[in-house]
Amino acid sequence: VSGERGRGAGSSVSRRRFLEVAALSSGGFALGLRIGGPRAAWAEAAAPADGVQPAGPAEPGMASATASVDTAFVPNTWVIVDAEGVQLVCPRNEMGQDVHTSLTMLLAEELAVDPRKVVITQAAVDPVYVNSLLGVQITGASTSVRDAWQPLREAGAAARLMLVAAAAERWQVPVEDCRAEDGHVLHSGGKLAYVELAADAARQPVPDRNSVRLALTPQSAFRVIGTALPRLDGADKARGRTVFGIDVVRPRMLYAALAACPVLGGKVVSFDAATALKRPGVTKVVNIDEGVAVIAHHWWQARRALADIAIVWDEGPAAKLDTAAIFAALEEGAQESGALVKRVGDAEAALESAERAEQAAAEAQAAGKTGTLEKNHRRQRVVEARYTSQLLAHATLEPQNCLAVFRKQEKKEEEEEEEEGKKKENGKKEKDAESGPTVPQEAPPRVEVWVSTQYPQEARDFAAKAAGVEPSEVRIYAQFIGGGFGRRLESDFVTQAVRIAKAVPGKPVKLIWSREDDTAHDFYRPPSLNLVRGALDGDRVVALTHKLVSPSVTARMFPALVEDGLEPFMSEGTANLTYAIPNLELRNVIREVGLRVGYWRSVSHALNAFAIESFLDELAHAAGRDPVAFRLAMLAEQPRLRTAIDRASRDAGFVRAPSAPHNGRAFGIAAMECYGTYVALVAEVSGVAEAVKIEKLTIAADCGITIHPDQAVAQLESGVVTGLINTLRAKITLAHGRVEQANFDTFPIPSIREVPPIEVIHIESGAIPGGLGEVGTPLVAPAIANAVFELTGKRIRSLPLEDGGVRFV
Amino acid sequence: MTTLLLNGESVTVDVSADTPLLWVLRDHLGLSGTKFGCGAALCGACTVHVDGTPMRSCALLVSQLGDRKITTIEGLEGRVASAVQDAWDAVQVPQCGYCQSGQVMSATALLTRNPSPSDAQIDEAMQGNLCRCGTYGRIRRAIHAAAGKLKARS
Repeated sequence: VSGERGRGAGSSVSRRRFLEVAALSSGGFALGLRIGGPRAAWAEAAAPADGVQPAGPAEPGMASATASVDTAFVPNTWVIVDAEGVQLVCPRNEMGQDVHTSLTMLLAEELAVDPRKVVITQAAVDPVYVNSLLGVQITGASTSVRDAWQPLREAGAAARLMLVAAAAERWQVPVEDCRAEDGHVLHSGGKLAYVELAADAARQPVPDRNSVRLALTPQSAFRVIGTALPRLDGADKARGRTVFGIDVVRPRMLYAALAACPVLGGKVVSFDAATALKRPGVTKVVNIDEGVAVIAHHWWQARRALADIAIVWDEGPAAKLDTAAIFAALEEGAQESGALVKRVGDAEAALESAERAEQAAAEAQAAGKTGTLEKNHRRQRVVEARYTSQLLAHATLEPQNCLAVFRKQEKKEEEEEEEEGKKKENGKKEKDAESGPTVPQEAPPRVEVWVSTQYPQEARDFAAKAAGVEPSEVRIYAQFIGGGFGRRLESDFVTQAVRIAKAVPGKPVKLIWSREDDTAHDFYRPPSLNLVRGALDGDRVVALTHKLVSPSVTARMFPALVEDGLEPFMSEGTANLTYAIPNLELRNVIREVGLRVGYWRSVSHALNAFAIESFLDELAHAAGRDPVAFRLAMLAEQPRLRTAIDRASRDAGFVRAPSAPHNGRAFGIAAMECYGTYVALVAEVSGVAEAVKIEKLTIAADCGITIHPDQAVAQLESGVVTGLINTLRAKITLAHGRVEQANFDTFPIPSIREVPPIEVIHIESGAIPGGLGEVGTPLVAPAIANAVFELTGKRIRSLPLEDGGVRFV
Repeated sequence: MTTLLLNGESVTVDVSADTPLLWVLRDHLGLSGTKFGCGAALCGACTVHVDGTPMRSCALLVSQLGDRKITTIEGLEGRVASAVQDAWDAVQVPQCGYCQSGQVMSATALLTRNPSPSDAQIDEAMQGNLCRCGTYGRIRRAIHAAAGKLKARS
């Protein structure tokens, strides 16, 4: 999202890049996006993606980069066409959001191939794979399709033009008489498969950008985009065949379990591992400062041995931190004016004027005056509220884990050690290629890491730092992710795994966190305090002020993006506020609270939408207006959001309850633009405060052109369920510096029983693609809170809502 | 040494008696389709069949199993399992996919003992299988679809 505002977290190279071609020794070609500078600088990681090899048949699925390619080019490649077929080197990581299939569909559309026949290779770390909307190689912020939309289709079209040109040359016919279809070039006189043309196509010049753009398929002629293709990874996932990071196995692999300091930021002072070392399978106990790790032949042996280690901790500055102190810090922060996100007109003056009028009206009423002036005064009203959100864990179902191998520089010593290790394998001769399948003479990389990550670039840099080597000496093999939600934008577990692996050079070690580790050592969704004030003149909102007070994720991860206290991810949902209100003042205050925080699906959209969309409901109620009509009145210039609201409220059968308490059913609505997508959500609830039943959630979204509609719907469903997590009852609390939750009993995520029917209305507007992965999440809390108010008369201003005196059944 | 009846074969492993079945499957036998999620029988990612009953392998000690028949996702077969997995494909259930082995195991066990479950019975049988991506609506649809297929075939 920040990228849309022209803010890259890294370099701004993306604008200058265009396609380049390289001929492959295998008789084909690779198209890549070249960035200026010497090739050698970024020709570093022809990933032998061993870990991601599917257990089942190779197609479709992920495979390692073709062995015979010119390795100098492969790392920068997006598309390979050779005698084997078509490969997409996928720059984004698959975590359920359908990025493998969606991006393959973009390529397949333009290359005129069956997407099911495209082999997907997970990209290594390289500047060419930088997400142009974010400036770093990240999968996040609902950007994957938006980022790939143009360049990946262009790569496909360019490859197609080259294949067609090669065929035309072979047939000695004009290119205009040839066309590409289903992996072939056709001409009245014949048909040639891409695999037959690849070598010739490699000698064709790359068409210039204009020709490529002219060759792009018009929307009306899409054959792949917009179809109901089964997910390319779906069948394997239903059969337990997908290899996630936690499943990767390497020869002679050891396992590690970690006793991390129960207080985040604490450190090991001393420990006694004598008993643990005597346990079966335990090979080493390692101090990595933030904890003590046991290395063993099997994970359960390592895990069990942890209990035998007595550790003395320096619990550090957070030793006394508790939830009350965290919110007290936010209250302090609320005294600051913070940074201005958006200003229209003069909101403070408008609020003051409304306040004076309200007061005058009250005085006039007391005096029995009823003139025109008094009437005008009576129309004016100031409403004020404070909203809070508690900390949340990400709770990815695949606990954090990382497999790493560290090799010493002294080659001889290391080889001896590895040889020795291989002998111990009891004759189990692995024809394993730790050095990669192509160049057996080359020394293996100093550090190799197999990990479920959304941010392979950081994983590489953190691994390098932990190992004390250059980033170029590290290989990251990014794996299928068992749930990201922002947790795997962090690389803390990579640092840990590499530090542990460093203690046993040459041996791969897989660190696996327990669920309890995972819950208590997260980068939590920031706690928040939102202060909102609004002025009404009759049923019109004439002023709105909003201030979000929270710790900043961005200040830690991408400090360069925070300018004068303005935090681009804290202003989500405010910088892009869609309502036409004549006087606005929207601010953010960064207030650190002594606990690390992280990006959590939809980030501050959720915090700000809860406050603003609930507050608009308060204003609608104060004005005596229907909350749908009230919103639509401020959206004259927002046809896409109007349509979303209209569709959601109509399909959900939205009616405003005449007065609460009423007949036991109520509706609530919330709406916003986020990630370039326009979305409205209606919640229908029933029951009483002590037992609120969520009957149905209806979400309408206009995300522009939809690459893979069924999975777009799936993403919205998924986003809504994530929204339920922050709505119902889950929260992270602290006492004595320790997280009080440990497993799914104390940090509950919804079960099948707790998720109501979710109706998704997919609006086809034909606009350029918007984001989808996080769109379903932010409106769930305000829509349900608004419905709960209609149902019970309780206005709950704290998340989770159960903290506000209702119970959900 | 412990001998297990696993996926129709007798398998002997050298593990301590207190090792949960989950880790024997994953680390010793290379059967990584069964997933580690919570270690406390709270999420269902590690669901296997023990004599046809869905059980959480993270909470089953290897020494407790005796000669009971264990089936993992890798060894799952038969008409019910096929109907379930086909329905999973048709409805496009998986997202990240991490919980899906466990979901498929629980759904297969449900349909084996109850060929046409109601929504409430599905909730009852599946409530121990958490899906962090929130694919529940599709899971329910897929179970109904599989039930329909099985009924049509029988």
